[in-house]
Amino acid sequence: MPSDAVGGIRLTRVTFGYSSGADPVVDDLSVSVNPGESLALVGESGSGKSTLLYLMGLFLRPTSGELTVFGTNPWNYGDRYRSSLRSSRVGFVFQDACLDERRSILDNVLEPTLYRSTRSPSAADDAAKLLRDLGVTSPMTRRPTQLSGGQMQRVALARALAGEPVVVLADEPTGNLDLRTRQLVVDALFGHVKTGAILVIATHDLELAALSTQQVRIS
Amino acid sequence: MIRVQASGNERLPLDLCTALRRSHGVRTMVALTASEDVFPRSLRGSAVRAPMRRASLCSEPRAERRSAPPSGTIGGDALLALHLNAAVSPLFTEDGELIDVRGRHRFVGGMSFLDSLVLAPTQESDRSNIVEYVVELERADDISAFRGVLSASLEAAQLDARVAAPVELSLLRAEVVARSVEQSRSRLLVGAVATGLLVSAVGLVGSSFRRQEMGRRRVLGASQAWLVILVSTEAVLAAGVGSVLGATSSVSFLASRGDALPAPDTVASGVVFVVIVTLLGAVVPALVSAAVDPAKALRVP
Repeated sequence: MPSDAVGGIRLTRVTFGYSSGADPVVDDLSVSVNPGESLALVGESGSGKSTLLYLMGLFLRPTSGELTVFGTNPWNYGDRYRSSLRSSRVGFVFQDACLDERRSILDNVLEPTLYRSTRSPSAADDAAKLLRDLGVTSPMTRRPTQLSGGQMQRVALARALAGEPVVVLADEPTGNLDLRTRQLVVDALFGHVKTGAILVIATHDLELAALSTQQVRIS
Repeated sequence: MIRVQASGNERLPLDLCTALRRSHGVRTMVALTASEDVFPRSLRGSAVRAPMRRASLCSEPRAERRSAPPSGTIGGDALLALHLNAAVSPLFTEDGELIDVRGRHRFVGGMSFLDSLVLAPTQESDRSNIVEYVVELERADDISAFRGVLSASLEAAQLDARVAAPVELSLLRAEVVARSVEQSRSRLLVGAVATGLLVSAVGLVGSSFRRQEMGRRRVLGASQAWLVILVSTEAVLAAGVGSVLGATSSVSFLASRGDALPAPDTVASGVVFVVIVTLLGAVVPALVSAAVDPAKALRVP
């Protein structure tokens, strides 16, 4: 169970723009999300909600303002620190699954462990169990290209939740899914929040946003 | 030894050389050239390696080799080979295997005044149409007179050729070997630079195709250093396997032609060199891959 999310994620008057002359995509935004809470970033396509998600994922550096994760400003440290944070404490769900087609299903779920300094001996068994719990019935050695879209998203979800991350960032996680798979993904994500994790979802699905502890509308 | 260097498109006329050979005690007359293209096509490429191998010349005393070549077809060819290589290592083993030959030795067939045409770097190797003729006389004290006759003949024929000062056989041999080594190094350097540029170019193209993969890896926790190591390792592995396969096929090809085979340590050095150059060439694409912005690579609006 995640237990080290103390301090949560806090943005204080954060502004971000892709270039200095252009209008900022995120403008003077303050928001915080604590362990056991979920935050929905709602807005139209192109509104900047994914950019905000990537700011929280430490891929983009705020132009101004302060971003702290677990009480620390990660931009005071080097790339190795932020990468370590992502690989060991952050799970990420993409809209289009974004799996490695050359690897097996199981290896895809285990990919984040490649980038960690240590790997649990039971990581493979845990990953296989998680895949089964999420309804992936295909053989673990199968390639993603042999799966349906729904099955691929389940594998991507398993990759994000494997290792019980304290933060899960999801970018339109239910965008292209059938109702059954959508419900499964929603249950898994919000079930993980109940264990004390933080969930941040970028979505234009208002039903999904309504399930979150708080919402930020971006226009 | 007398050395005559003919430049431009000049070749020593057959009748002049034939006359010189008849009128003087010429033991051998050979031509060194960086490219056999300076000779008529009909005279090129008829290698006589099989009789040379059967001769097993290296195991015999030099005097015996000169006075009684084992085969009538190999005289000048084998002699020059010995001249150029005896100080380096034996030319042929007893069972006829060719070893450590500098340059490729060609039989010149109908060019009767010439005992041998040897492909080796000439003094001006950057000009492929330079031919150096090396003449060895039976008696060293004939050299001065021979030079005079030769110079007068060349002047009368208005040939763009000059007669160099006499040179000791051992010095000539050392010089040709040194030129060969220098040429090999130059070619190796050019090849290495070309390999490095090719690796960089292919790597850069490859990294553009792998932007999404690198972006995904970054999102999942790969550090920039991790990606640099990944891309570099991939390039080195590919270069290592490729150069080993290339070296193997090259050696097989040379062996099938009966050409001289490079020493194993030379081949190994080449493989190691290619791998090192590849590693250097992979640095730029590796850094480009590592610097990928996940937000852009994954098409964040």
